[in-house]
Amino acid sequence: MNAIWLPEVIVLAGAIGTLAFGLAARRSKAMSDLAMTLALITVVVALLPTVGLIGTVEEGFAGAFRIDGLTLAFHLLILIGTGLVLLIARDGRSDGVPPQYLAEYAALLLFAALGGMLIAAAADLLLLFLGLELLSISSYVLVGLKKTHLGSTEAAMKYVLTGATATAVFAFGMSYAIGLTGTTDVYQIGQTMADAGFMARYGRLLFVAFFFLIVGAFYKLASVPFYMWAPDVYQGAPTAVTAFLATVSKASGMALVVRLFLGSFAWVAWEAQPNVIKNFWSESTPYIAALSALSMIVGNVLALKARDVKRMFAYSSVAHAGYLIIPLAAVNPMMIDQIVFYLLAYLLANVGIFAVIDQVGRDRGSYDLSAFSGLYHRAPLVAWALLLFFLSLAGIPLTMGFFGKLNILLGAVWGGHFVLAGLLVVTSVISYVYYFAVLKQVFMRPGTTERPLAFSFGTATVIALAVLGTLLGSLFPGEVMRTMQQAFDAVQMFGIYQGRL
Amino acid sequence: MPEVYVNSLLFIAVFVVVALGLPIVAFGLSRLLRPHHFYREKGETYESGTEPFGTSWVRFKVKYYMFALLFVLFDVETLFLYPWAVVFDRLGLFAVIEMFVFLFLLALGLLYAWRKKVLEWN
Amino acid sequence: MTPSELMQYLLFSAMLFVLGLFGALTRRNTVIVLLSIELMLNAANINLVALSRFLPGGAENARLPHPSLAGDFSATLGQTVALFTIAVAAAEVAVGLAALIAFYRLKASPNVDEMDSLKR
Repeated sequence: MNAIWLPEVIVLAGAIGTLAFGLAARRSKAMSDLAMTLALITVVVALLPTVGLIGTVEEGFAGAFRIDGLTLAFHLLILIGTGLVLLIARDGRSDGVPPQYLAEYAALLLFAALGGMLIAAAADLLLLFLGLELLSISSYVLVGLKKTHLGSTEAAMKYVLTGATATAVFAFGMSYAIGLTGTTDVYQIGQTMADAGFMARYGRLLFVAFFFLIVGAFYKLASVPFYMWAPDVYQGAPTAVTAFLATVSKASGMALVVRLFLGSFAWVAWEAQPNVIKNFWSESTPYIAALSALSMIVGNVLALKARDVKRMFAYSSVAHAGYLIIPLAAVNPMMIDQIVFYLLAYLLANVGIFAVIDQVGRDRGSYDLSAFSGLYHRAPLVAWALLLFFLSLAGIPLTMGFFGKLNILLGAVWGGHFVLAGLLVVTSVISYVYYFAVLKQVFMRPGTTERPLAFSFGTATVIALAVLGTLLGSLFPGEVMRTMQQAFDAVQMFGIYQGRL
Repeated sequence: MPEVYVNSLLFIAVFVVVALGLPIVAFGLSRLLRPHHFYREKGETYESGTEPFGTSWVRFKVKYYMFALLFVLFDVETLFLYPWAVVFDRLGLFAVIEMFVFLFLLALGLLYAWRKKVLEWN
Repeated sequence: MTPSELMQYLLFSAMLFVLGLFGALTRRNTVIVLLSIELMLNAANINLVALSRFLPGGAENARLPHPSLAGDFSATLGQTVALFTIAVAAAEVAVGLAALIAFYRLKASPNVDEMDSLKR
């Protein structure tokens, strides 16, 4: 019996502690800084038991809380992402967030991370829903933290309205799934649906439930049916929060989709007509493939005309959501590993880029493309790091992002989805255009100033760590993938269907 | 069972008739029975002598929002306390402790609001 | 209750949901949009409570054409989940109104279509 709940409890205690600390240290700037550091320490401390739990497969709280390879992989992604975002937020405190809210800033980031971790650990639809809400509601407040900044409050307003609508859609789907199967356990929902005759009786309603659940979950991913919030919210939010939404929030959304789709729905088979067996996976594949294709196309094409860098990365994140969905359509034995590896590559590159955006944006007071002009002369090392991140995101051969895309591509071909594989390649080429538009500013355009740009300690650390991670993933992709497969055996998530935990 | 169905509809119809009839009868009877003696002061909103001013469509101060928010805190607290109160004797000590953990977290929320000077007017 | 009545509940909640969705997508005033979202969440609650009456163990389950679905579930499951939905809805609206107040202070308008400062 391990303390499987320890990472979550540490993050919760850290979040409450940070809030309390902020209360005790009102209006003292040094103390507010300490609140951020406290949150950072919390994340590091929570990482320890998470690493210690690797290899564990266990359920707790009457089966609602489940630790397996999938959970731990996403826990690590979320904790690492949150830690890096906290480092950016700590040094980017002048990014419009009133200094008296720093403790809340840190605490809300921790609460949001806790929501994501609960999503990853939940084997229960109700807990999934609550985790999703904890993540969402914290994110709404985080986006609007710049209270006196019109863009920020407007972004928060839009995020709340669209997010609450998506929540309602998710809840409506959930009500059918729970009501008809009579259980909240994700796996039992699947097993009940697989009972003989169940789908024949309630199949249509369950398809409605599935549709609503997936639509609600895809909202967090910012993939096509629900991506319109992303550009405005990414642009208006404080940069560290944007980095959080682009990485941690998206990873949590992916955990939600994987657990929900693969855990309960995908494998349910029924006899539609005599001797015609259908299953959810084969029935829903065309739709998911279409959403993936549309996300790739829409995201990459709209990013072409964005001038604001944060807005550009919102569209870019829509496109990456499209890449991430491909394995769900092209089901293959390695799909979860593909998703996690790609998420890791994406997370490292994105957090690094947002660290640079934060520093440059605060220096120039603008997030326009032109703010990056001449960056190579102002901070050559950072410019090279930026080059690495962009190459990785674009998927230029021999970078981590390339191997991530290659894995997904091979999976798509293995699953027979040649159109998706082709679109992955073509849209990646389109993405070169806008990624290199930024690089062109950095390396080839003369800036208005040659003054060296100093990077604060936290931002520099984030960039260094992201470079290190990306380099490791680029140089030893096979080893990283193998280690991941061993540490986070994705098949563990289906143990219940094989009579094990 | 169609006859049960019709019966339940009939019940609703009777209910509607009674619900509509009661106020009509009550107001009608009182109109017939009361003396008709009108003077100006009777037409005022408050007979206490306070002169009403302005329209009734006033805006409420945004400050009330904070109290509404705190109300939600306790509202939601009772939401979970009721089902717990029904079954806690059957669930045993564990449920009692769990609920007190929940109450403790909510109390922290209240403490937070208090320290943030939400409970003070101005 | 008879099964056809279950169908009526499901139809009613579906109508409520569509009404809410329509309101959320078309209304200008943010407060009304939030109200519409409440309608959608309440549609989910009605579903949950109505269906939980028909779960195995639920008061009306025996009258279903196929009484036992599987296992022995608690009849109050749907109602319990509905409580959580209510709590979540309350939290969401609280944050939504807070965001609206912050927005109103800057722009003096509660209208969704006037949130247009973020472009390009």
